[in-house]
Amino acid sequence: MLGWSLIRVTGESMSPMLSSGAFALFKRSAIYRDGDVLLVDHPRFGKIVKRAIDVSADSLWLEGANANSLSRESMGPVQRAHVQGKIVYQIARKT
Amino acid sequence: MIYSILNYLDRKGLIERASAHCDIPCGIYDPGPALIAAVSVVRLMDIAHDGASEDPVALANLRARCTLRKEEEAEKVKQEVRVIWGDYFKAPLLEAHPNVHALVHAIMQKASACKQDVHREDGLALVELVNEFAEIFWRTKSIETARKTCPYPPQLKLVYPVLDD
Repeated sequence: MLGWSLIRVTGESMSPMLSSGAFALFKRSAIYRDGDVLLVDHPRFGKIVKRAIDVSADSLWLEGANANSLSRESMGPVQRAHVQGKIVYQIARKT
Repeated sequence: MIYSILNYLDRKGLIERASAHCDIPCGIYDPGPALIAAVSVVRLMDIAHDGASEDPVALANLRARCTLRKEEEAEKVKQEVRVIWGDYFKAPLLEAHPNVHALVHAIMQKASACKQDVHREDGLALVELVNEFAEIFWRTKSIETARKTCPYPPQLKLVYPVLDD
């Protein structure tokens, strides 16, 4: 909706930066940089949350925040058109 | 407050989900079995001390059984905690909870002390250490915990996760 997406994260591959069960707000952007946490509509894995690395003009690579994540090689490079936004806010479960 | 509202909307299916995939099937880790085993150690110590049979053979049998089971339950504590510590805790979690190594080591030592003797204070200390471990574990999942009296002897305070549903 107008480039904004409110998402609930499932899975622990972005922990502790973004824990399973957290809500995250993503905003579509014209500029993505290495380290941005992105919402991606991945051709093979569906809607996923990962960190951007090796961002180039038309594609970028993805990685998780810990060793449990899918490897960057298994996710492969994704076209920027698949990126639906970068995280701007998160609401973690209360501890 | 905001989280609760979002959680409500999520349960109604109004919020989309995105996966932070792992490349292996997610393991099921839970400190509950370790806690139950630790409480069992205390319970077995109590039964061994309170054995009321007048038949010396029956009493010896009871205490032998308690000792055997206490050994097994203390070993189970060690095994359950070792698996969570070794398999679940990865570098980012260890960095966030640097005291977990010392805590796990203390659990190993205290569980061994419970095997070696029947001092109730060792059993109570073991339960407390595993409680602390459970609190750290659930904190890594951003899940609240509460200490509640377990509904069976020896009715000690145990750490339970507070789950939404």
